[in-house]
Amino acid sequence: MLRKHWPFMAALGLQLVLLAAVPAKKIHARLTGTPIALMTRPVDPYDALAGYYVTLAYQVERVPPEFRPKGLSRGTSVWLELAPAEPAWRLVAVHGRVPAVADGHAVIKGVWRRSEADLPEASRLYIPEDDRHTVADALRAAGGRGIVDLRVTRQGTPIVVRLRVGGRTFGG
Amino acid sequence: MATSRAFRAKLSEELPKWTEEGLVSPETAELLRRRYHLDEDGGSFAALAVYLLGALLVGGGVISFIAWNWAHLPDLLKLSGGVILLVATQGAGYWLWRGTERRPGLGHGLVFLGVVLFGANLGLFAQVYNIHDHWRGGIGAWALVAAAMAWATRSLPCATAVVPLAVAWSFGEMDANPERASVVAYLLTLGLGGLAYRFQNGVVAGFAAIGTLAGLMFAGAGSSGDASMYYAPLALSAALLALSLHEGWWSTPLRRVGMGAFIILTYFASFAWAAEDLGISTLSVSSLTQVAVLGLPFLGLATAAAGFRLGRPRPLSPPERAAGATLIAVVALVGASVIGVGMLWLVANLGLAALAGLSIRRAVDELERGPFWLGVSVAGVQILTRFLEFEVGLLIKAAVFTVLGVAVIGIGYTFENRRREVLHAS
Repeated sequence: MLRKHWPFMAALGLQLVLLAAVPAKKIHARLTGTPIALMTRPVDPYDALAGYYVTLAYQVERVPPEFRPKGLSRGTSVWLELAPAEPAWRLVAVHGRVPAVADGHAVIKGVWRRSEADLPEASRLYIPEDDRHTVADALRAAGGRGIVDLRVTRQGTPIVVRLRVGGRTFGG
Repeated sequence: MATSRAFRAKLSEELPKWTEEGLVSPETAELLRRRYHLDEDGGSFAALAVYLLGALLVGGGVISFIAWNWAHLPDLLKLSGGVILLVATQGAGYWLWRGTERRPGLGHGLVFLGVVLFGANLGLFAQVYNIHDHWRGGIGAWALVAAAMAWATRSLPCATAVVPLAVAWSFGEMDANPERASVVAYLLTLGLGGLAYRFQNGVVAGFAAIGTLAGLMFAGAGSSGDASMYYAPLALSAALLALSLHEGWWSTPLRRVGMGAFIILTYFASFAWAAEDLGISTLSVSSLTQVAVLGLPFLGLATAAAGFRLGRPRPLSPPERAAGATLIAVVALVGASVIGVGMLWLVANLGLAALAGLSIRRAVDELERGPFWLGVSVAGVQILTRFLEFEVGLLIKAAVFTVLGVAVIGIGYTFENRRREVLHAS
């Protein structure tokens, strides 16, 4: 029985393995990652809503001149070192490889873009269709600013947990 | 031997009557049955098409349902529900198709739906974990799963679905990593070539050839512009035509795709302004390297395939003669572009004219409709384009268009009449 049908079983098994591999790093981040909070940049609420997700851009992506690493070319990976602060974590250093961070600090992986860093793995929060107008209204009322709760692993893999804006919580 | 489904259906219907009437002996009938695979299940094709269409619609519905992002279910329930639906659909489909063999069409449709649902599950996982930056990997995984299921069940629809998915993956990879575009293009060629070889089916081979052409064009576009975009697909069209000279399940689709690509590419080079951009003698060293990397292996394959064919004593059939003539024109085009720009423009126009003339000549000899209208269309479009490209007086344009239109109608009418008379007489 098994011998006759093994090609089909193998094809089915491959799908399960691939589906399990897709969120593996994110599940690891959610289960074991350090909780951090980042402030979003002011954005036009209608630009932020593309389809049924919110496009997130963070203040820490704007790297001050004193933190900009030398010799990094566009498109290479960078790790932003963050320290706790209120209401959101702040940038304290930018590294060209995974750093050994100080106690209480965290790192998040990004991509270097000339004078800024992008956080592509944390730049999108999917929302239910019914929430899209509520999110837009809340972002407009808050001047386009919100706080995003994330979890990050030691290697800097992030997972977006929720968006807090104007006293409302979306996602998570 | 490549025969149409309609021919086999008709033969299957007629053979019992011929045996009954004594036109053929039972032994001959059996030989014909075996030769044309009449006992294979081909009658359920329409039912399978309906099931596949249904599977696509249901798959589209599930994907939209997931995109709707219903908020009331916990993540774990959503994810496990998606996976259970995937396993149940494919499991039930396989059981109906290959297990009990009671409902093969429905079962096959469900297996195909399962492959569509894998894509929907990828979307669901991406949505729940806010993943969006690895979409190329997702499309690549989907292509891999469609290929695995096609291999496991020998499903032609799954095999066909691999082509657009693999091409989309290759476009994403080449766009993100232009320095690896040639490697990705060859990976795509090998993958789709392997798929076509595994299935030995005309539809899969045709789709694979079109997908490979698209991949080569994209690889060229990202690197050195028009010339790379042009010569690698031209060399591939030569390889397809050369391979189609060898008789087999691949000859018809490869000839059609190769000929179609040749006509489009040659038509482009027949414009004087386009030929200026395409001349190999005017290219920079890096562009020339890219042209060589992408195009020369296919030109080598074309030469080898044509050489082996010419070594066989059997005379060429009419379609093979047309493919052979086109192959010579392809080589002439490449040669002309090496020598100089003016020659490329001239050879492209001569190549198109020769193709049109040979097709019409063959159509008149064999009374075949396909080559006749192909030849008339190519000749008509070529003449019209040249008149539009160059500045001539409106009166001359009016006269040429009118004469051309009347000529096409007249020639077509005469050809169709003659064809009808001959067929009626026979």
